[in-house]
Amino acid sequence: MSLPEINAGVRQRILKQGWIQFLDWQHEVDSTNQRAKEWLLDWAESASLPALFVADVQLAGRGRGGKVWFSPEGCLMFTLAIGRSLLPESPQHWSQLALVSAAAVAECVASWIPDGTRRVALKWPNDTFLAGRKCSGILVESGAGGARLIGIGINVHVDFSPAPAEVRQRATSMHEHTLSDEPRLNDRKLDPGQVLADLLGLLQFYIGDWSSGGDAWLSVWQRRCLLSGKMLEIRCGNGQRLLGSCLGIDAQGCLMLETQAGIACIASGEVLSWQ
Amino acid sequence: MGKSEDVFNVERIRQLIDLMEERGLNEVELKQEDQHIRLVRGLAMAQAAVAPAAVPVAAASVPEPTPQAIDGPHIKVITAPMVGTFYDKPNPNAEPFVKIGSKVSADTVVCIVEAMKVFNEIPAEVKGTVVEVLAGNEEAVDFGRPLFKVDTRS
Repeated sequence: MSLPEINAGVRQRILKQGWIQFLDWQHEVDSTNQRAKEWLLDWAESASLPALFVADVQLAGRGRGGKVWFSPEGCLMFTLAIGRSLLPESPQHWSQLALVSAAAVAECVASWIPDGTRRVALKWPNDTFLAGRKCSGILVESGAGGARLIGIGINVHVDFSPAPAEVRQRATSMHEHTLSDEPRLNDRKLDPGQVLADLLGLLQFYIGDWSSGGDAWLSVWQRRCLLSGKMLEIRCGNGQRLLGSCLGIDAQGCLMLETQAGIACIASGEVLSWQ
Repeated sequence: MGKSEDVFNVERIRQLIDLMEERGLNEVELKQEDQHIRLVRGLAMAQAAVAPAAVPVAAASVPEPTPQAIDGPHIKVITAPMVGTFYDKPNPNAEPFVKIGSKVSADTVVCIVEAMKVFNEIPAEVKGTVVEVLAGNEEAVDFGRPLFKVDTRS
């Protein structure tokens, strides 16, 4: 499925929504985050934000710590660049942006999937899971002038049959969970462009609410936290490993873990396993 | 003049030191007849300690300065604006953003603090020269944790 063929209308819809001030849509890029970074450097303070960078195929998509993101066609890949004016006043809250963005992704995915309320979950800090397998990941980085780059990948209509076995076991695509071979919901055909247009509306709402002190994002997490009540092994940012029972997410977005030594609130770390 | 009225009375000097800390004063100089003493805090204090002291007893009452202390009105401390993991370089194979001796301006990125997979680049927000790096790579840092000292005179 080629985005340019089907998405002339989607581009118009996105620009008509009025939130996105600049739209860059390429067939193939190394990484949309990298493209956005370079654009911000070129335009500096005169950059029109929020700006959107979309790619049909990403050759060097990255996850955390340089992990490669499998990025075939049918995967919606984009970077949303937002200016500092859309961040809360206190930098202490800025790291919540990944959770805020993930809340928007989860709500968007759920809106397209039958029984999405039950089947879509959020894995701290920013992955969306569908029926127990990952269907979206996010990487947030800084850009010139204090901008933030929210890189999002969502498996909308991805054929995983040529993917490595490890990816096939752990990943899923939205289209696998719809009701027919020609997935539709309320007479809308499932395609990455339509999902993108929906998602931008949700991102605008959740980021705007968060930026003005709201916690709509947190209530999504409380409803959809995949890890709550599970036993976790976590590698903290400083390399320390922790085992414990997950108590959910606190108001700051930290993962609360009940360990033998007491309750730990983890801001930086990777969940290695859960059961 | 009685002993209790001596400006170099140990108690009075202690009070002065407390006052300097309370009010953020960096230097106080006292003179009485042919004797004088200068109380200086921070790095300048370490230098002052070797300056000619007219009254050895009084000088001995001044607490020893921390030898490595880099402090003073020209030193600005860059602190962690958020909780997270401190990274001194953009990726494991890169050079650190800054080292001791690096010139920085307000927009210079000095480190990354990562939390919840958000990689926050931290700008210096001050102009000067890095004189001390106070956090180690991949160290967990709390809000307000001192990360760098910058000498704003240069």
